[in-house]
Amino acid sequence: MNYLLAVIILVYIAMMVLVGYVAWKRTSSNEDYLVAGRKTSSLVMALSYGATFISTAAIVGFGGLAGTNGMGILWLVFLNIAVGIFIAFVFFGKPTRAIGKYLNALTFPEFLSKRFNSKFIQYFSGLLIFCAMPVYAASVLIGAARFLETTLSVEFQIAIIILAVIIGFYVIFGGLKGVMYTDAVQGIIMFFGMLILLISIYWILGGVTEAHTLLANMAPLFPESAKATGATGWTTFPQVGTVFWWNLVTSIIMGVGIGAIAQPQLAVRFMTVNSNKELNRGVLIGGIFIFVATFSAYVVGSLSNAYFYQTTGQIAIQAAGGNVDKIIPTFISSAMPQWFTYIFTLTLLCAAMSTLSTQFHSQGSAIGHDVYASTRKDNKESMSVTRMGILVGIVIAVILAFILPGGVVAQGTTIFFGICAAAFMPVYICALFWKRTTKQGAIAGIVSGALISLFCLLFTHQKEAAGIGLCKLLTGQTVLFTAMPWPYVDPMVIALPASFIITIVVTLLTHNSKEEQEEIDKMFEAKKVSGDAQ
Amino acid sequence: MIEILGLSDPWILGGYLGCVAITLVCVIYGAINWNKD
Repeated sequence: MNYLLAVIILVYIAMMVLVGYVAWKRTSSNEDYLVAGRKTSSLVMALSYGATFISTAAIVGFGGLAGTNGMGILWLVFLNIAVGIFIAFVFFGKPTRAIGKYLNALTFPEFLSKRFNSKFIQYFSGLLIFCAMPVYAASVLIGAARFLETTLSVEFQIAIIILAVIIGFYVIFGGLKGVMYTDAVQGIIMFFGMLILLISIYWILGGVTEAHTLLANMAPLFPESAKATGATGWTTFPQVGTVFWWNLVTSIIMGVGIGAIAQPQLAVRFMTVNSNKELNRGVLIGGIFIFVATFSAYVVGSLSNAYFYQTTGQIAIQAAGGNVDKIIPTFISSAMPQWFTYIFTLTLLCAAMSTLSTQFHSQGSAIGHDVYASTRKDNKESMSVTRMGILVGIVIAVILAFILPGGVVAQGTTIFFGICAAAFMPVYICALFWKRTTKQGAIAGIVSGALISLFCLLFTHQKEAAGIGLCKLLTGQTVLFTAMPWPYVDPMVIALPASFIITIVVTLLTHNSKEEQEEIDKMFEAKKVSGDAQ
Repeated sequence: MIEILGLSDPWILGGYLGCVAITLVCVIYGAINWNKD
């Protein structure tokens, strides 16, 4: 074990516990616990949003994919900022904040439930989040624990317990304030860690143009197996319509890039601020943060090929021993000075913990506030119930982290993002921008989106269907439709438009009652009054 | 064929410059509306 690194991490953990304690002392009501009292500053909100958005999967996982896929993956950075920050804050954040405050909604499922006057939406959405989130949380938890295992020589199982106890402390006691305050500190560490990395790779390779030219000249070295599926090089886009193109464009770029809009754990952030001013400021802070965090990871992943070729004569995936997830860590350990490996270790720990804390909080509020408390007549004070929900969620995530095989776990993020996007995005858009949307349309959209997405994940999309193995068990073949391009079309590309169409068609076939329409008019009036004329 | 910063493939160049451009849009939007409610 490296003692200096251990001391740095212990100081960092003590800081998180202290910040969690401060948040606990400032949490006295359910509104504090679930939406941070609706008085969060723009800096804390934007950093928390960004740090939650970016997990170790984004830095190490997708950074590694940039090493094997090349710079085409930069379109994911573009979408993360354009959709995940600009469109999310400007067009979704403002009406969500105003209508959420008018409805006194404390969670995303409650927001949709009150907007459509349907308790079913709250139970169903809460249950969906509670069932899908633990696999996502377990995948991040496993990544962080494996990382502690390799850097600090801590036993894998013990690392899982340590992480769960520390994060559990500040989430259970501090609520969303505990989550957001610690996120902000973690976000600042991540920002500087990734910024140093971006500057370093161009410095090492002799400048921006020089680095790109080196990589462009390496195109003949691109693996033949990838070229056979449509790849052309690290600085050229794959051939349209090939397996490589479908995977890069629909699964990697669109699947994660567009899916961010309707993530319940991100949408609730809009309800934590007091006015649109914080959201306007958040666009600037969040845009810069996401750019530095993701652009750095993907540029370094791609350009690591040039570094490894210069120093070892190998391309990145060969230098990393064939393991995509080891491309970024291998680059750090071989190209960067010792002091930076400490900073990067802390950066990855921050990325994992900031995502995990929100996952635990979302799970707890889903089962405690949205499912349990909303079924009771007196749900005025459900903070202790939510705390129990968080504890149950953490225990489930820890158990899953112990028992899940690696193959299923790797898909945790994709599965959660995909199901949430298909189930919630069409209804969320209609809730904010189409007064006419009916309760029946919203219910049909959420249920169909979740089911179609789940069906595609289990039976049509090669990557998840092969990992889970249910289709093979029932039908004898890995996927139902083997004809191109179906095994490589991301479930979201199918489920999202289907859910949209179903929401619209069912809405057109049904009507809101006069009372419901009057209430909806008041909500949209609240949206206008808040200075949001969109 | 245009080459900027050592990149010439239009999709790769578009992605690279697009990231920088959308970040600038966020910075300018946030700065202009910094005190607007």
